[in-house]
Amino acid sequence: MRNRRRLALWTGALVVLAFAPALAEEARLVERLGAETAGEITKIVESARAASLPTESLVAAALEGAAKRAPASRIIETVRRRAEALGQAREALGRASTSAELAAGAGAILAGVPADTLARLRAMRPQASLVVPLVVVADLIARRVPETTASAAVIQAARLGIRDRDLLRARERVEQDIRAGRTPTAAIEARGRALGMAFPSATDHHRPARPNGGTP
Amino acid sequence: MNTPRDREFERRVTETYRETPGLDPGAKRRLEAALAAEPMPRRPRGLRGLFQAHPFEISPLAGWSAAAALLLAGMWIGGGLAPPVPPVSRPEDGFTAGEGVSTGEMHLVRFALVAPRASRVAVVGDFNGWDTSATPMRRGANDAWIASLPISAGRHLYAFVVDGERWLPDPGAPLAPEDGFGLENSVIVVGIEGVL
Repeated sequence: MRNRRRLALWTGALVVLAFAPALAEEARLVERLGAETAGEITKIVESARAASLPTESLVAAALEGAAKRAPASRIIETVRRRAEALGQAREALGRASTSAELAAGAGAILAGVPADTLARLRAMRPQASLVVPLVVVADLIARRVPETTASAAVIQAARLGIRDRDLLRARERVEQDIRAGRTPTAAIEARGRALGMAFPSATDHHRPARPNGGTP
Repeated sequence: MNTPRDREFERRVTETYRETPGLDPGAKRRLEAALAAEPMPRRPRGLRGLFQAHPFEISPLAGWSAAAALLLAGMWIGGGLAPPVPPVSRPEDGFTAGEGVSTGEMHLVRFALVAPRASRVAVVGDFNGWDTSATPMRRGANDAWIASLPISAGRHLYAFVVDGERWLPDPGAPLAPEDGFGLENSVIVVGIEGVL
């Protein structure tokens, strides 16, 4: 009898411990977004959790929307798009990917990087983290480097075995060049060539795409 | 004022003093000899020594110097005499080895923004629940606003909020794609070899 009571107590404590983070998360969403919007966000988050996707970035996106005073419909839509991008990133990067890689991959997909580029990067760096290349490609696109050029740059960086530290330094220099008045394409090509990358010449930009659609 | 009761009290006190035996002339000498014979307490060795109080003597000059040094250290930590820092956000405690990300690790990250005309600046990101009041920055040297906080390893989005309303990405950090809310964020990658 006593053992049963003890078992029930332990089970209850474990259940409370297991659900406490989710309850705290929901309470925080309700506090910042109101019950109705929080309910919609929680549905998306639960669905992502059921699909074994990391949900921290989804909750963070909702809180970010609240902090930026975005309308509820925009917040829900943004969280939904981010959840979809997370799913696509996991498909491209593989189930063994870390949540940081998936978040970075989702960011790259939302920036316009095709899932195929993510899969190619993973194939080239099966063991190493892809967070930095994915952050860099999204940053380059945000700075108006064409997606094909940005993707080609990070794929070549992976192929050449360029260290993350050097890739980040190159990104910084591209940013400085753009600020100094260089076009984004010219900036990435110049900095990429300094690292041993090859880019099609200016005239090649006007050539028809290669039959296999590959990037350099 | 001087009642018979007071006079009686005075008399009894005086008698009590008369009854007190005088100081033995050899007492002082004996006490000094006893003190000299007493061995000095030994300072405990090993870990026990760390937890026991030790009396020590210090000259007034050394005491004042130590107090001044402590005050200067406090001002330094508080930012009053902070050395110029580069206005770039970066992890402070170095990088973890290897390329894998352990999301359980915490790293101290210093955020910095040069904003001479700002009256207050906060750093806001996924690490503080995008709470604009959670991490106010302090003004350091050269109009750089600084905040240091522990952040778990991984990729984090953040921005600066100037004077409570103006959102700015970090000029020295990679940009995240447009966030769906019409404003740009910055990205910091923490805990990966060689990052930022």
